[in-house]
Amino acid sequence: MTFEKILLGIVIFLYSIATLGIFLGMLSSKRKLRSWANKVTLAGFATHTLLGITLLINHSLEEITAGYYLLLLPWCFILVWLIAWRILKTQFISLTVAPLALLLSVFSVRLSSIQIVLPDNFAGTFIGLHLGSLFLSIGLLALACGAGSIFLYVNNRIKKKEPLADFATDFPALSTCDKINHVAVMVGFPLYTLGLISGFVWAPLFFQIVANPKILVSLVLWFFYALLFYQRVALGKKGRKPARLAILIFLISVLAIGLDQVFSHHSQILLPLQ
Amino acid sequence: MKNDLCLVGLNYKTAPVEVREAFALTDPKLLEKDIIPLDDDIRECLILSTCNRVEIVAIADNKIAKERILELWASAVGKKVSELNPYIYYYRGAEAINHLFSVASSLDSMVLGEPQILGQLKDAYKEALDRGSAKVIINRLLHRAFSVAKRVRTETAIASSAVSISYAAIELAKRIFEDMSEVRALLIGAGEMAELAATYLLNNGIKSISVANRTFSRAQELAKEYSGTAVPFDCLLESLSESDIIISSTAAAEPIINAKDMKEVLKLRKHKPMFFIDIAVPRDIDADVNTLDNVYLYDIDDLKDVVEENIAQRRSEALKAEAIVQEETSKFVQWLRSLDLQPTIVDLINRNESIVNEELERTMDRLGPFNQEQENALIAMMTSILKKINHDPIVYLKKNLGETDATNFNINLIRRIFNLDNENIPSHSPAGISCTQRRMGGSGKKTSCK
Repeated sequence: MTFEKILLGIVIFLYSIATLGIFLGMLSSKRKLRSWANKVTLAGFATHTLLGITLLINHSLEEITAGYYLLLLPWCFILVWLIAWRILKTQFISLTVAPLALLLSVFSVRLSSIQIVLPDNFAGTFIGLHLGSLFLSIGLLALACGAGSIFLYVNNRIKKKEPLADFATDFPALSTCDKINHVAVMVGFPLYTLGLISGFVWAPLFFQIVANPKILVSLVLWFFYALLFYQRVALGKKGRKPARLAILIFLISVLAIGLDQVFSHHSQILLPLQ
Repeated sequence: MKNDLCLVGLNYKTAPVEVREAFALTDPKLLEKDIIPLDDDIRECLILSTCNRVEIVAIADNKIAKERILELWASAVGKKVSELNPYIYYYRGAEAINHLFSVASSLDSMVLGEPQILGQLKDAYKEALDRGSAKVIINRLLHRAFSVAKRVRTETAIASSAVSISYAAIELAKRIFEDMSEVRALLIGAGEMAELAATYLLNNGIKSISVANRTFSRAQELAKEYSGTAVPFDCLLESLSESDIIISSTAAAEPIINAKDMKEVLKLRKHKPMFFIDIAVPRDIDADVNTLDNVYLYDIDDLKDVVEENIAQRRSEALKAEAIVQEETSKFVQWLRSLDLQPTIVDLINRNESIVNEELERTMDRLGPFNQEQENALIAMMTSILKKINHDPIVYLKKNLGETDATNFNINLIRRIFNLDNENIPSHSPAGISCTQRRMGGSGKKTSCK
C-alpha cells in the first residue's frame, strides 16, 4: 500500500500544519493565519477523502488494516465541521477539530499493521451502519465539545465582567455556541443510538459477547447522551449546563474509543499482519 | 523653498474651547469666501475645521508661509494674529506630514481611534478640490493620509473596542446574541444614556423595541419615537419573558427586578439568554440576577470598567499605529524630495535629446537619403542610446532621497556636470588642457569640452 502510505503521510502533514497554524493564529490574534490554517485543514480533508477512495478502489475490505478504518473517524470529524461551517457560518470549531484529526490520524498509523478480518456478512452494511453512524455521532460530539468549551469560557468572562483574552476576541457569540451544541445533540444522539443498536444486534450473531468495560462505558455514554437529549428537547435547557454535559460526554466517548482497543470484542477481529 | 509643505493649526490640546470656537472656520458664510487665496507664495491649500481642531495645510514658501496664513486666518474670523499666536502649532516637511497622518488615523483625537475625523478630513479635501486649491502635492498627501488611516485600522485594534458606555453595552450584547435581527429589546424608564443605547440597538437592526414607563403616556411617546410598542408598567414581568435585551433606567429607590422573579421569566422563555443593562442609580435590577444561568447583568460601574479597559487597550494599540504613521511619513518624504529632482531630470533629458536629435539630423543629411525603414531603425537606435545615457545620472540623482543635503548635492553636481543651467564654461581650462587630456592623464588628443 505504498501509494496509500504516501497519501496518509500527506494527510498527517497537512493536519499538523493546520493545527500549528490554528494555534499560532489564535495566540497572535491573526485572522489571516487562522483562515489559512482552515484552508490547509480543507486540503487535508481532500487528501483524506482521496485516500479513502483509493483504498476502496484498490483493496477489498479484508485487505484494509485497522488503522485505515480508524482514519474514518477524523474524516467524520472534519466532515461535521465542514457542515457546521457551511450552515452556521462559524469556522472556529476547527480549533478542536484539526488537532483531534491529527491525533487520530497519527494513532491510526500505529494500527496500520493490524489486519481486520471481517466475516463476509459483516462487511458492507455493518460498516455503513455501525461504524458510520457511531463515527459521525462522535464527530458531532467533538463539535458540541468545541462549541461547549467556547461557550463556557465566554460565559464565564461575561458573568465575571472580565475582558476576553486577545485570542478569543473573534470567538462566536454565546447564542451560536449554544445552537451548535443543540444541533449536534439533536442529530448526534439518534445516530449514536443507531450505531449502538446495530452493534448489539449484529455482534452476537458472530461473536460471543461478554460483559467488558468497553460495553459498560458505551452504555454510560448512551445514558448521558440521552440525558442531554432529554434536557434539550423536553426541558428546553440552554447554555452552561448542556455545554458542560456535552464536554463530559465527549470525554467519555474518548475513553470508550480507548477501551475499545483494549477490551473490545473487536479484538477478536484484529489480527497482526503477517 | 517654494514647495515646502507647511501645517498651521490649533486643537483641543493647545487651545480651550472658547478659542477654538473663535477661530473655527466652519461658518458657511466664511467658507463662501476664499480664506487662503492661492498665489505665487501659497500654491496649494487645505482647511480642516472641526469642533476639536483647525488645521491649515499649505504648499508654500516656508519663509513667509506661517505669517501669511496666520494673517489670513485671523482676518477671516475678525481677530488679531496676536490673539491666535499663543495657541497655534506650526510644522513643516516631515513633521507636517506625520501630524496630518496622525490626525487622519485618529491618533491625535480626543477619543483615540474615533472614526469621525477621517470623514471630516475627506469633506475638507472635497472642499479643497471644489475650490481648486488641492493640486499635485495635497492630492497625493490626502490620498496617502486616507490609505494610512485605513492601514492603521486594519493592522491595529485601535478602533475595535467601544469607548462609550452605550456602545460598550451593545458590543457586549453582540457577544451574547449572534443575530441582532432576532433580538427584542425592552426599555424600562427613560434617560439620556438609555435612549442612546436604544438608538444604537435600533441602528444594529434589532427586531423590535418595547418601552415601559411608570407614566404610560411617556412610554407611548418614546415607543412612537423608536417605532416600538408601549408596555404598561404593571405588565413588566410578562413583557420580560419576550425580551432579550433589557435597558433599565428608572428613578426607583429599590430594585424593580430580582432573581426570584427572573426564575419564572426564564422558564417562560425556555431559558433563552437575557442581557440586562442597568444604567439607573440606585440600581433597578438586583445583583443576584447575574447568578442565574443565561442571564447577564451589567450595571453602570461594570460598563465604565469595560470602557476604561478598552481605552487602555486603544492606547497600547496607538503605539503600533504610530510606527505605521512614521513608516508612511518616510515614504511620503521620499516622494516629496523626488519632486525636487523633476526639473533636473527634465533638463537632463531635454539636453541629451537635443544633442541626439542634432547629431541624427546631421548624419542623415550627410549619409542620406534613407528609406522609411532605415530612418526608423536609426531613430530607434538613437532613442535606445539616449535612454542608456540618461539612466545612470537619473539613478544617481535618486540616491539618498531621504536626506535633504545629499539630494541637493546630487542635484547641483548633475546640473554642473551636464551644464544644465547653460553657464559659460571656458573652452580651455585655466591649466590650458582639455577635458579629454585631463581624463587621459594629459596625453590625449586635444578636443573641445563641449
